[in-house]
Amino acid sequence: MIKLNPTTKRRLEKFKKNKRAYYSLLIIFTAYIISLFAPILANEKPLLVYYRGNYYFPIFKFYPEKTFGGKEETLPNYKRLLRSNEFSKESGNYMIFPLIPYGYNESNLESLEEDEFPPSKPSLKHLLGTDDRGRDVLTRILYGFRISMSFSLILVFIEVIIGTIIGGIQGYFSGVVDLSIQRIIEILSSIPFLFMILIMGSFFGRSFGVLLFTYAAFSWIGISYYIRGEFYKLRKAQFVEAAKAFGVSNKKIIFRHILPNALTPIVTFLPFMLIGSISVLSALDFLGYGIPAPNPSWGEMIGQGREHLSAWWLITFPSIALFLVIQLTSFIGEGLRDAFDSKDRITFR
Amino acid sequence: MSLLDIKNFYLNFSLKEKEVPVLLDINLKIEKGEIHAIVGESGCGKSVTSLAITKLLPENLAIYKSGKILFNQKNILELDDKQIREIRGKEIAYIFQDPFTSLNPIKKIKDQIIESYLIHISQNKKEALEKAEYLLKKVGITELKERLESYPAQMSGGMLQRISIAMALMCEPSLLIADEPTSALDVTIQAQLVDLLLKIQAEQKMSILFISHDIGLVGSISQKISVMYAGEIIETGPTREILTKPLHPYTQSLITSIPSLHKDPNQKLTTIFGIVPSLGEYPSGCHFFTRCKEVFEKCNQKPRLFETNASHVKCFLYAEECK
Repeated sequence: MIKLNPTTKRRLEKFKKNKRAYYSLLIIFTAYIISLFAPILANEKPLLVYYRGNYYFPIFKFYPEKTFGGKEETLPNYKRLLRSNEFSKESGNYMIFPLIPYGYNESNLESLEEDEFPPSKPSLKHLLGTDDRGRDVLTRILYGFRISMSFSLILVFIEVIIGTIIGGIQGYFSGVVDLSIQRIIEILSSIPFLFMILIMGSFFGRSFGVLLFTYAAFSWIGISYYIRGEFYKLRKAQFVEAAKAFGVSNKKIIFRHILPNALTPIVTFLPFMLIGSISVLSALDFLGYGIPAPNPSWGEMIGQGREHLSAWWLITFPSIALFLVIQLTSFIGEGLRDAFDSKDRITFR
Repeated sequence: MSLLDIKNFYLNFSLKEKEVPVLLDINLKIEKGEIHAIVGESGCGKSVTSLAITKLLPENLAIYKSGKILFNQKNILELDDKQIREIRGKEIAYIFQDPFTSLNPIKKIKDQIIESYLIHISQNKKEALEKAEYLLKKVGITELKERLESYPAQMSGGMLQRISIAMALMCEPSLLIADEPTSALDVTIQAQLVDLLLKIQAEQKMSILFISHDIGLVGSISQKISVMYAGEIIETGPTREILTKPLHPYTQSLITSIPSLHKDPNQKLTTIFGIVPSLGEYPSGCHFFTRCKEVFEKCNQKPRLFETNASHVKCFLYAEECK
């Protein structure tokens, strides 16, 4: 068993005691894990196909149409295949579809009633309705959560790494190094971020990677301030001086003595950084500068809702999802912040 | 041949656009196996002297003006960073004042105590841990396994300071610098720790530079005392000489201000009027000039170190030409 530092243990216990934060963490965590398995939960391809005595798993492997008696080398439309005479007339053939049998990019025009046009209202078939291209809203919310959460987690990770390296260099070496980097940061932070996203998008094409890179290039600045301050403080700490007196090299002092101590305040900051990037991504998608079009995204769905004001479900459900994620994450942040606060005054009800 | 020999050492601090003298003409000799004490008021430069010995002062602050710090005949001021790091912790080890802040709060005792051993002696972790256990037993730590696995915040100050002592002894240094090692602790624990230090010193035959503001404590353990005042060593000599026949007016008033059970209870303790001159405002002549009761014309010049029978003293009262 790893023996935890008593301070860490106390913080963990305090965090667990804060029911609101603890359950928020559980909910967000499970939701993210579930969304990671989205292709199994919501997909236009069946989980299992039984055809002429053989089993096929189309989600995990690509089978051309020829396999199931078609002519083409391309991906079969399994739903059409299921309804086709060839497939159904032989007894014993069957398909098992996922819980939500729609893909995030599938226009479910065929499954709609004859007189209805997308966007269609929530119904038993489409629990949260469909959007203007007949795509299932629930599926898109699920995939959208996966994308925005992954984007934000990767972004926060990069932010912390860059911010820690640069803030650490500034704080530890101080003096001229600190001042010159600080001036560069000031120049960087005065560049308007939105224009930068537009310019980068038109140069390299809009994509997940370009967006991530551009956003990460600016957002580490806040973290670097924190780390810089911590390094400034810890550099003068007695145990650092003591380590020096024992002949420990600069590199070891930074990585073994200063850095682990400096990261503590960053932990309380993480959930709020996550919120920041989720909302920025949604805002960019809403404006149409985020992740390019066919990808599911909450911002883009809310944007659709604005165009189809009569389709209330288009704006309601993604907004609720966005609100819940941000609210729960900020509960987590609140709980973490209080757990790291050495004062015990705050009570939770 | 002395272990440590500081010769005419001058140190300045560079504060905003001006240089301020901090240590002036420091002369200090520590023999092998000797306990040498530096006493003085807060801010007189005791700690600065101790840190300067291995160049631990912040680089942008300290200017090593002139003089020599000879350790085993090597001038430390001329060594580069890497060579100095090899001396720090291995040849010269430190014990600091406050054990609560001088240990890393998020590292286990185990990992901290073996750090210097791993750097200087060998990379063998098992060997280092064995050595650590041996030393911890020696400094009186019980329940070793449990202590090694715990964190600084789980232990008392006395215990942490014992651990710091064990930590300093890991590489068997020839000089141990103890910078007020007991002032953050209770009086009862102070006595225990001082006894422990003396016992270990006798066993290992190392030298100790003991820094303290408590001349009473120092008098009972050291062979030699140097009295510091405002950046200067004003008197050096064998402990008994200093305690019984203090020469410098400052040392005299320092000794009469020690409270003692043998003194007449109705008599007030003497105090030294005035305050210590602050950094950069040292008088041009003798630094004790403004507070001295026996001041005379010559005192606005700089005294050098005059030799008497056993001691060296920086006061014109003992100069040949003034007698």
